[in-house]
Amino acid sequence: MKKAFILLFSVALLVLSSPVSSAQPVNVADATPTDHPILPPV
Amino acid sequence: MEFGALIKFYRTQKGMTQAELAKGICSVPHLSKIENNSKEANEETISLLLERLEIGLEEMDEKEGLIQTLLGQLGEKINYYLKDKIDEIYQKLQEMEHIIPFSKFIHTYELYKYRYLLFKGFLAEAESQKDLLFKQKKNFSQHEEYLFRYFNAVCLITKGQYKAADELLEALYIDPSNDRPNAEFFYHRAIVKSALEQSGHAIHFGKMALQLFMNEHNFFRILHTLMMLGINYTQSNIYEEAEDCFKHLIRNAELLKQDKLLPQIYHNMGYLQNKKKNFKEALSYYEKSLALQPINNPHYLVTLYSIGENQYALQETAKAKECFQVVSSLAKELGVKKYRLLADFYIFHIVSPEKAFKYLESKVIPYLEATNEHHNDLTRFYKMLSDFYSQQGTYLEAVNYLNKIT
Repeated sequence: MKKAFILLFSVALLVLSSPVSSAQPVNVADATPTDHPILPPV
Repeated sequence: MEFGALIKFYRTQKGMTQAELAKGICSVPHLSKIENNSKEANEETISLLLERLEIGLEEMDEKEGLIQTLLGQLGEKINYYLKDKIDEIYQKLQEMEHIIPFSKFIHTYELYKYRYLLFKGFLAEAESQKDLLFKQKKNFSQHEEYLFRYFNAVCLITKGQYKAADELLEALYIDPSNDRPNAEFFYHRAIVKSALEQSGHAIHFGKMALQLFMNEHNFFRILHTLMMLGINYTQSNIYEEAEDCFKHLIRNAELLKQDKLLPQIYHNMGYLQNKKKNFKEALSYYEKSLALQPINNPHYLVTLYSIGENQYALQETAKAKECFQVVSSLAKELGVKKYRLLADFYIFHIVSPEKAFKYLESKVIPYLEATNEHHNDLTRFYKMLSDFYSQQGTYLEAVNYLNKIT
């Protein structure tokens, strides 16, 4: 019950915070850079 | 030295019967008991038997001493990461392999052989050696058992199974009956924590390793530990320290012509600049790194992929696409599934983001979730999918992915 409420609340929050007309694709470059370091030898 | 087994070995090799060997020295049943180690023979009898077999008692003692010295040297070369000199020692030990089973160093030898194979990256052979050792496990001394478990952790690290390695190293660390951990142990703990993206722990163990390596003037391992610390300072957003580590490393590696390490340091400096969103600088370091690497190795793949990502971030789409195409085919050739999936995702994304996100959901995410080792990548992709669905107006999916992040 509590989980369902949280889910519903989150959806409502997301709907409210999103601009309705934005159908723009997500820009991959805007996301956090990927973590790909090269570790030293074992 | 296990003289009974040694006598039996050489008698059989010379095609002698027990009666022929025992004649005039001892009775046949007595010899039989000596050979099976069920009876302690006096030195004189042993000496006479060995003499008949044309083996000197003193010579055998000398050889046992030599085995001990060589094993010590092998361990030292591994600890000091002296890759070029290790084969010579290993070769000498192999030349004595027919005697080693009769010495008291049989288990130590087999254990260090396991470590040597891991050190050289001969994974298949190391696995067979591990199976052989597993069968002998019940005969191990406490120290030998510790070594076996520790080397198993190194084996897991080599295979990229970091969680299992972490559990094993932790168990060894908290067991009070074990030896005091050495620098290499802390170094391996730091590597594992680093791979598991637990940077705070990695820095903690890395600093302990660094101090101990410095005490023993272990030059190569100091460089390796500094690189690992640089990566973890980067991951923890402690950029000044990270930059200090890498600058120090670049200076030393260039000076000492560390050709193998230098491209890795450049790559990780690129990784730091990337994290700071200095994409142009990052690109320059990645390119420097790539130019020094031989094609067709996994590190080349990681660097090329990072170049692709940077070019994409700089909106150099055509160049990025070219990079990802090479990464995809090279990853296929090398059998590195992760980078094939990631590169294909970007290739799709350049053409159609919708198609790319479907691919992300159906191929990339299930793979990353199954391997359970790529937490940072997964978090990033969940966030991207959540944003994507949110912009599409399908909020339930968006929230599902957001929930997965926590």
